[in-house]
Amino acid sequence: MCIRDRSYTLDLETSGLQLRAKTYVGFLRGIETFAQLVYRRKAKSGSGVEFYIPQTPIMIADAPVFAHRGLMLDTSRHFFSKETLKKLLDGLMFSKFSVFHWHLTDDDSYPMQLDAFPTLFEKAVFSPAERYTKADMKEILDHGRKRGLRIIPEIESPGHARSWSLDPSIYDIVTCPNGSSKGIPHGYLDPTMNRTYEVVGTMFKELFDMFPDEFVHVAGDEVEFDCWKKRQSIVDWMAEHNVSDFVALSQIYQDKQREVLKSLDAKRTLTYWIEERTDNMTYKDDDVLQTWGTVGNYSTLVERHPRNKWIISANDHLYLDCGTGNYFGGNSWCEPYKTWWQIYNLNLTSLVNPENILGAEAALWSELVTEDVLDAKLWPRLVALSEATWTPEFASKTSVARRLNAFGERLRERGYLVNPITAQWCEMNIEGCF
Amino acid sequence: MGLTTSENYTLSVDKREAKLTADTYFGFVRGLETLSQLIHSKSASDGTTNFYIPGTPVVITDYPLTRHRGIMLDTARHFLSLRTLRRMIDAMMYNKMNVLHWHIIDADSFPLFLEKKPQVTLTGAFTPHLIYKPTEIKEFVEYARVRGVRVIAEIESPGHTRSWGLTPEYADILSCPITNGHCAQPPCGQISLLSPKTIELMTEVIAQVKSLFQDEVVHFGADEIKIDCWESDSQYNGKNVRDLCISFQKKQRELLGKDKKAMYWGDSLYLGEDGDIIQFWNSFSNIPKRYKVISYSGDFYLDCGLGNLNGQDGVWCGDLKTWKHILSRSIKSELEDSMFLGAENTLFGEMNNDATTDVKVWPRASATAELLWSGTPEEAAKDTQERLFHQVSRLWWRGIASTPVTTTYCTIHPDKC
Repeated sequence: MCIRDRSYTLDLETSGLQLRAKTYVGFLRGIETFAQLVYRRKAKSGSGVEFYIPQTPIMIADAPVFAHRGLMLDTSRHFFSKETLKKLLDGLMFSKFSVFHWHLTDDDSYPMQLDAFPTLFEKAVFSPAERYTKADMKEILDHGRKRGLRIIPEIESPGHARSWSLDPSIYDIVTCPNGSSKGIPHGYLDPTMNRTYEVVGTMFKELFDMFPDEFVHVAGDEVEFDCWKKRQSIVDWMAEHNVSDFVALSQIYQDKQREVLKSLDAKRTLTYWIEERTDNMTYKDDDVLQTWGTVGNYSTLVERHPRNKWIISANDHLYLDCGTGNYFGGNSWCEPYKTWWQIYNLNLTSLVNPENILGAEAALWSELVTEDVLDAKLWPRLVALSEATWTPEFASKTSVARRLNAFGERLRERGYLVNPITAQWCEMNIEGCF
Repeated sequence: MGLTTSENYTLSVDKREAKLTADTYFGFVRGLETLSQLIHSKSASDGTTNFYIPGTPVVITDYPLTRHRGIMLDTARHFLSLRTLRRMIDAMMYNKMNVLHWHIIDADSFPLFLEKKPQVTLTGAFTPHLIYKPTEIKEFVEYARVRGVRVIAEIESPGHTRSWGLTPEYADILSCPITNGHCAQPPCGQISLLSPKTIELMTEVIAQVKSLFQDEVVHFGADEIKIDCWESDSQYNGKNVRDLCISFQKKQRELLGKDKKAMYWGDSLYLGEDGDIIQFWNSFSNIPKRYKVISYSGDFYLDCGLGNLNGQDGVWCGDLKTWKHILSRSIKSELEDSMFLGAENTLFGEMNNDATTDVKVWPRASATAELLWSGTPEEAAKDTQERLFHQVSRLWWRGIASTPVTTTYCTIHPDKC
């Protein structure tokens, strides 16, 4: 995969300014920096306001250390409208993120329109208002591209696929579509049926046509083997084909899926979720692994998969849904809430083999997130991740607090609902509190 | 509306008419809310919407189990706009809550405009624009009254009072200024127990509050009083600071007058006169029977678990208290005690502003409202959960940005979840 040059130089003199970059995206990054240098005050004459840049001349030569700096949003547990996503993409651009990882589908719903499976668009959505038409998708993708954001799609399988079963032509390939455990039924694709791979192929062909990014996220996470065990045909198939256990069966699914996807696009890189306690797959060297396990367990994973590239989404720093309850009214599984300081302290460069780390993504699972509360979940703590991946060198808490607070103000002016990072007196007297 | 106002109502609906009877206007407001909740809507095939009440005839005789069902907002740690405050009143009306406890000033800022001492406000507020003017407060109190909500002002003192002494006139009434270590959190500073100027200023503050707020209760706070703060000031050498504090509070109580009730946080050194109210966070078996009590505990504290002003996750009360946690907290034993008036969800403002208020308060305060009006439901939370989903939908429809209770799937299929 290629890493493009996002560096820029910004030279500000009283006589003028020069912004130079090698790429359009590098140029966008420089414009954002320029915007942050501008302040407002009451006009010296008259009653209006004027804008100024203090402390010129200023010379900045800047480039991000980690190229992959992203947010993952789940639009399956709750729907987020096209307008909300576009505004989110703007916010990511302002914060100099480079990736929006779009967790498009899950057990709960499949809100993306596909030509090949029109019934999904009818039955696997919460309501006609809560889904993305092809035109919507195109608009969102275009919006992101212009803002220097890679949009990486994720369609999860073989697990988290119950929504697929709501199309009668796909129903048969999903085990446990009406599962009896509490909460949303979990659906798992049947890896022994040819039809499964037909459907996967058809689905991903349309996905690849819509999404130009070089990466696709195929998840591969959290398979409940009981569902496969309950289907006699699977058990029989395993006996016939000498498949020793369900882990081996999972590997078979993964390998066959890989074949199908690579035949559609040999150059597309496959990304998988991984976590040390459930890690039992083998991967190809060009697969990218996105870990949601804790930072402390990262080195174990690297030992097992030494040649892969990594995206860090460590739950102890970057899972944004932690600490605000779960969808049964209990506490979240990953207490406590990740504050801006906890996010900032990710410390990527201290992890083993940092040269194999592409970057990091914060993850917002949306069981308890609607459009109305999205801003409150993200801003400004998410921006601490952008800082930690663009400039991983540690700054003091006072410095981070001061700059994050100021950036929060700018986000507020740009129309976002922004949490305070501290009490208002502290915002105005940073050194009195940090 | 006051501590003893009846909120009873009877609502009967049949195919021909709906009849709502109440002892007072405030009971009537409660009944109207119930009536609105009985109304369902259905889309007709021609695109119009039909409204109807299913299950008639319906007869409801209703009254709250507790008198004080409140929310505390703190506008001193972050200034909150009147728009946010009004929206809070609306949402409280939708949830039949009847007290807004307005923690209006604190060490951080003094946004309450004092007509006789404007400089105290203009120097004490974060900026001269972030203040509450007398006309605004009067209008707001009336806005709340019409919606059946009392507004109780809290003028926290003598701790947490740095913002009182920022004008030249009152600069010498502050002990342990900012850089000294004697406070629970920055900024530090407590008003003098010795200076007559303190009493002078206190008199003005109380007079202003009485003229603007009308309620029979005024909250004096008296939380986190740091004795060591005054003791570190040489003026207090050889004096019994505790006793000085108690006399100060007695004087403050006198200034309030016999026609009003005072309210204090539970760790106040002085708990007031007969019938005054203590906002207490533990079992109140040790509180003398002459007082009334509002429960206040980690269970009702809305900013647990969301980080603190230092960027750490630790707040004194542990993890976030979910709606389910609140509903599972029994008030059975409290209800048996004649001292018990009710409870409040408290939202201190260090980590809260206009953008986050709705999200933090709702729907958890709806759970509190249910608990305080009807007590703990007999059976498990199943039915309550479903009713809460509907209430949240209504809140959204009415423009309140409540956090969701659960996933969309679970809202559509509550039996599965």
